[in-house]
Amino acid sequence: MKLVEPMVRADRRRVLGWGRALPALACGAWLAPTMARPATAWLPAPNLPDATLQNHQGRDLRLLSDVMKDRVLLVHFFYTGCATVCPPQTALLRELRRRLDVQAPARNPLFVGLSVDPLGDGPAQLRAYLQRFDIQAGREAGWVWLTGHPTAMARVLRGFGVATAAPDQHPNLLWLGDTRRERWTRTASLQSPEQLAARLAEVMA
Amino acid sequence: MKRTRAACLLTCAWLIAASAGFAQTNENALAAQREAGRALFHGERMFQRPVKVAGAAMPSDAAACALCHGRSGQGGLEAGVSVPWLSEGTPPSQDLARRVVQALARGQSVRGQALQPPMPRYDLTPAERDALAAFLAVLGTDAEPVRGVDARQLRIGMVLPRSGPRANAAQAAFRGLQGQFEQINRSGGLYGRQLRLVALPTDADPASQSGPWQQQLAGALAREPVLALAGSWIGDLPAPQWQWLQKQRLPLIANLGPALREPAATPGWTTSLLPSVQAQLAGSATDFDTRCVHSQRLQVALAPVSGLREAVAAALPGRTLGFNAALPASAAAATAPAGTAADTGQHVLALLPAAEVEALRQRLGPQDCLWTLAMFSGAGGAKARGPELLVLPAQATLPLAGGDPQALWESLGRLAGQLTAELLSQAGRRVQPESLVRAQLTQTAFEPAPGVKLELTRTRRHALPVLATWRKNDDNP
Repeated sequence: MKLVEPMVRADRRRVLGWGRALPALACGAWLAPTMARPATAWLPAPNLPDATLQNHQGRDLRLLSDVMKDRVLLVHFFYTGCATVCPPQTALLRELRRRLDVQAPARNPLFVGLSVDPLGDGPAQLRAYLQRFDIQAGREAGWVWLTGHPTAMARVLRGFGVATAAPDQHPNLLWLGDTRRERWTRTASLQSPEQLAARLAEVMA
Repeated sequence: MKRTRAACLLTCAWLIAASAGFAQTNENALAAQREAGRALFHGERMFQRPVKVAGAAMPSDAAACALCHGRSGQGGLEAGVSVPWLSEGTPPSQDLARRVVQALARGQSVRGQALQPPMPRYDLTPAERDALAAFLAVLGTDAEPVRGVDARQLRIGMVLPRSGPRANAAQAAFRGLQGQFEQINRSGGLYGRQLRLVALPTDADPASQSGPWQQQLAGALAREPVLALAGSWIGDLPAPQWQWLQKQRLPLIANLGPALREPAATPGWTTSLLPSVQAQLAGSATDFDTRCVHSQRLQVALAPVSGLREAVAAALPGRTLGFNAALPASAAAATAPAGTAADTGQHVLALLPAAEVEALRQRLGPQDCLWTLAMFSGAGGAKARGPELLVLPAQATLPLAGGDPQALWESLGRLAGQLTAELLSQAGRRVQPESLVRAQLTQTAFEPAPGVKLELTRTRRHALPVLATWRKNDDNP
């Protein structure tokens, strides 16, 4: 028993180690170019349609002409049924929004939340989610939450490289961009508000 | 000498009794701690102090351990984030549980690494620390507490109105469900446990007063915890109320509350026994059209029920509906010979109490078509002179619907009890709310009695089919 046990433990460590390391490596490999890239090396702008989407009040908004045109943006992905990543991500972004509002209201970037589960997320679900997190939404509040017809949402999400087949596999990733200057970058969403603010400052510099 | 021996015996007896009492007290205290830890782990009880992630406050209902680590603490993978297995593969133990709770307090994993987002930081009270440690020590074992379940008993709740027009019907359904449970108990119960039905009376309407309704139900559940709700009188609930029930991990089995629409709950968490008003109308519209050829223009007489008009409009799209218009006595009533085909008369949908439908029948003639639902007006009364389509929740209820209405609801209560027992038996000995949900999702067909078929699919949430039948008139066959 004593001879066998260490081997079993070692095997388990190896299996568990790879089980944890592989997703992390995959994630890291995906993010590494972005994280390591100097601030001046920007990504090409995402290829986005000017699709008509709905905000939390059910109002139609055109993604490019009504929401994104001539703005500094922080784009995040969520779905209201998400229990793992979205709640902490939303809490972090809400804190970032609060700090930005206090520090530099005139240069505030616009936050844009895109639902990866348009079949499950209608305007009513968005409103309930916003109420749960006590978030003021709307362009004037600096945070737009959007859902829409599945086809339209799929085109938009594809532009950001987000697959829509499985909402629970959406990336924990933010796109930061300045549409006037055509500079875009990506970063992990589960960072502290200070780290996220620093990344936004690079885009706005 | 004898006195000394007697004194010794008495002292020994007292010591044994005292130690047994002490052990019992300790056991009760531990059970209470485990239960408190269970409620915190699953999010049925909120943490007292704010929970933060990288300094940002989280909503209290998003901080439950089970949301990320899973119902058994098994971990998982979502959005590229790997959530660790709480027990790290070792059997649960007090030592491991203590280390996990210490890790929470220090903000470091059991291996000493700093906890990073999305793992929140908890500021546990001493009572919460003890409760979580007590629960984690038995998580996934036979000793894990399950709300409403112990070694001898399995408690199921039934929400019913304390007063109002539906109270008598709900009481009859309660009697039926209780009778069914007693019958099962006489045969030995389920997995050695006796089934106990707990009445959860409320006097608030969930559709219009969701706050008081929720408070009353939460209070009743705190006093008498139950595993699930069965045969409950929960009709149309606003979406936040469905979400609240789901957060409380309360599956609804064979709901009896007459609903206007099919519930907007997550599949598996709710099953209704009866089709909604909307489903009954939509499911019988074709039958009505076969005999009443001008039924595209329909006069609709409705009881003053909030939302009923909208439900009717949604069930019958493309028709011209005249809501609550005055219904004049048919001009043809006095002159048309009995048995004339109804193709020029009025077409009336009446969702009214029995007495009002009865009065309406007297005013309609042989050429007039009437459409009624037994759940509003029963199936008794005189026969109309023209055709009348009666919609029932199921064939099994037909013999009962014409007689004592309480007998109908008692019969439905028994059906609810049979379906509940079937799902509980499928959920297994180590039943959890989630295993009941799984049983509701996988249940397709169940025949509790010859000719009574309960069917469920992922899209159809009511177990009984819609049955439309033409009431026969002796003068107008």
